[in-house]
Amino acid sequence: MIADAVYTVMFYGFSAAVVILALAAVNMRQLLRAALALMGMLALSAALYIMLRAEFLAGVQILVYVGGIVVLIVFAIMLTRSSELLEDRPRTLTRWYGGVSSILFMLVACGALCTTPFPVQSDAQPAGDEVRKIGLALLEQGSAGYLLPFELISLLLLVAVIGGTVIARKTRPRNQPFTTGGDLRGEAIVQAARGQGDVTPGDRHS
Amino acid sequence: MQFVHTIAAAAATNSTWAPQTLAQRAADSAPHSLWLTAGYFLLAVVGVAALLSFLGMALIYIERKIAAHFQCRLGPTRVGPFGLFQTLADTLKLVFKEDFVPPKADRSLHMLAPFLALLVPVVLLALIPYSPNVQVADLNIGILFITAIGGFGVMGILIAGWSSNNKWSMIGAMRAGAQIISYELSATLALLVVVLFSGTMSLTGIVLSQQDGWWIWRGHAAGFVAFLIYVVASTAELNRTPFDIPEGESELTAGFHTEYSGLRFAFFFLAEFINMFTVSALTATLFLGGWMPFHVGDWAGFNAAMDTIPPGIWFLTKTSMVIFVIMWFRWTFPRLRVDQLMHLEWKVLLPLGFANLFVAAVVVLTELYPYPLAK
Amino acid sequence: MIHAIKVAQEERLFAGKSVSVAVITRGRPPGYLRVAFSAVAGLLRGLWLTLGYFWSPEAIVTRQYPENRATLQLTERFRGNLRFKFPNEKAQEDHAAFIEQLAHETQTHAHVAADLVREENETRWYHNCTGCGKCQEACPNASIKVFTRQGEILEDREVDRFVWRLDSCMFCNACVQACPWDAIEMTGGFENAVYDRRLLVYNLNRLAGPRINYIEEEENPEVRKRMVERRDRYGGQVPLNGFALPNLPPVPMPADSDSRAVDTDAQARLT
Repeated sequence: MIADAVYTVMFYGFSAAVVILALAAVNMRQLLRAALALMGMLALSAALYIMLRAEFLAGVQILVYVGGIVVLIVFAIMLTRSSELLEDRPRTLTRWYGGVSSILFMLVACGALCTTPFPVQSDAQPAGDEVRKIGLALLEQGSAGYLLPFELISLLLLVAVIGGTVIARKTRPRNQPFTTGGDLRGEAIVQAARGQGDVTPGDRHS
Repeated sequence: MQFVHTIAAAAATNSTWAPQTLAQRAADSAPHSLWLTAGYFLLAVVGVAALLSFLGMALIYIERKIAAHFQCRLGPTRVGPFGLFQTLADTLKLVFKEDFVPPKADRSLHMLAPFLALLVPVVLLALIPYSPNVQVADLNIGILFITAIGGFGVMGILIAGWSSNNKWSMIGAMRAGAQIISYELSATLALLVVVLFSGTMSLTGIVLSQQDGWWIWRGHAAGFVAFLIYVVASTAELNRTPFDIPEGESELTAGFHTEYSGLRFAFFFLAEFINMFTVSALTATLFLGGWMPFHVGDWAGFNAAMDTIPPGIWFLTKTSMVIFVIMWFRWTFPRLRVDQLMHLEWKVLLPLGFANLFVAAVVVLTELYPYPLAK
Repeated sequence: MIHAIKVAQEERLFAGKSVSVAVITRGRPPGYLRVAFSAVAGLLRGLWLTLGYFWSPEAIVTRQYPENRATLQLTERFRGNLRFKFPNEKAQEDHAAFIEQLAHETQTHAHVAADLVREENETRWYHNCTGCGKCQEACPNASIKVFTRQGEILEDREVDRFVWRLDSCMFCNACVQACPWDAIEMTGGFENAVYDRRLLVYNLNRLAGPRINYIEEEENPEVRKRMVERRDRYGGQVPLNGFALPNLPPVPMPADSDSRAVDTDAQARLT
């Protein structure tokens, strides 16, 4: 009895915190703080997952979102100067657009939630081998399996990784050793070392 | 001969471990007595807090002593017998020092960062199986959770560097972030090898799976290589020498905690040392059998003799050995350059980790263990 | 990176002459695996070395200072407190013997006996300094001030007070190296803690007077005595030197035999 009450109180407490942090993430004008609020919101929703006995999902949530994505966002904010600037206040027209569209979206979402029947399993006892089941399902080829989406996601990530590498790569002429940007003297020295060019020893020290 | 029989008899009752965590006890007692549940809860909180403070002090003292002897010195000898109270005195000093926040710093984030940094080791302390009956909670997603929480730990450092409004802090924090995120991959790959071997993610489950031999040698070369990769990668995640470029004193003064003083600095310090303990404890748990005594296949007499040593002692011995090795690294190796660091991770450890995972999968599929699992 | 280097001797023609030259050829750089193995081997060697230090207690170089005070030995080149050289060895030995005898007679320790001595043999304090001021010029911190006076007997410049400021000295040894007369030296003294920084400025010489050889050339002991004048550790012309400063209470003197003897003198002079 008391355990149920504690459970309910915790559930609503976490939910309220998630909502507040989500609002903060949207409304804060300082980008880094908004990112931190996002982090808190994601971590607390992981707590909600744990309360719903979806521990694997909670772990993945923290691993991917908090440890990966939010850290990336924070990195991006810190590496650029955008953090020194505050986010612009939206124009009145933009506010109206945003307000109307979000209210409409909320109506649609609420409608969908209210009309969909959710089969409630009041005494849900999750299997102890949750992780094993998930793993097997990911590798199953049949209609109940997720092998194809799994592989597609891998492909997508591979494309993203290669694309990122290509963008970040320093371009330099073929067959040239790396020198700091446009150091022609360095080039000349390298040429001389290969016996192709001519650099007097004094040149290196000049 | 009689002696061996006695031991064997003692071991027979001992050979089936029935681990029980505090969380489990609390859950079991919930229908009978809520007070008992609350008591278990309180015990867990107080226990972790006590362990935290004790470990912090003990490890700092041990580190100073070991460092001193590696450098042909004596270390603390003055405060108390053998200088035992040196850390206590230092802690008192830190508590009473001024807690200074730079004027242009982001004040609230500056205050928050040390707590974020300390949060991770505290949570990890609750998950480690110290002994069959001494563990706060055993999650069935244990390893996943540990990896996830580890990524969380970067945030404390990043925010500390950012909020200090100081170039060195910032550079140190960025270095720490890049380093931890990079090396987490290798550490996770090494952990996956153990998960593959034991077929479970729960830490107690992993310990129980090593009844016939520890994974470091039972998994052939794959286990040993995974152990090496994990030790290297987790040393890097700890920001300890030779991977301590985030706080390279000669270039960044103190890195991300340059602007911290007093109690908040102590928190970073504490977090660093508790992290070292948790990493060592996890290494011992995953690769060296945790609290499981040293067993060799079907040598019943030998195994029985080993079983007479309490599991807590086994755990402590293994963990302190790993801690010693990590300290030994620190006082022997010079610091790496940033590019060498990244080279080591992305061009050496990561490919090695992938290859090792593949080998481990082959070992598991062909069941090529030196000793069969007792079923 | 380790390259295999080969050295060979060859005869070559230079301007029609056969000259034997050393030809150095650099071999192929070692492969990736070899470098990796040598790196790991190097790391292991390092670990083995430090383990050796860790394991052997005899490797410890720490000296437990206050406990080993009686047996403390500093190296000869240790640069501690600056001191005057007092080259009259005979007088030094006599004094030491006298102190020992006094200690024996009064059944006390040597340092207590030394305290009891008020009137000392002045010849013990003869020094090498001529007051030339080279050390003062050489000092980068201006920690030395040499006051000279016109001698009565020799009618030449001689040292009056050699003031050394320990508080601003950095023990660089430049004064010792600059001294043309070998009059000063750096000693192993390093216990300089005091409660009043005025005590860190003091005179090094115990006698105002000419260099020892000029005194010893004089045969008449009466004249010799008139050539020199006693100088104490504190007092003199320099600010902070001693305790004769306005608005400041007198300096509490350290329990050092020399200065305590001086203490009474100086107090008498002040009142």
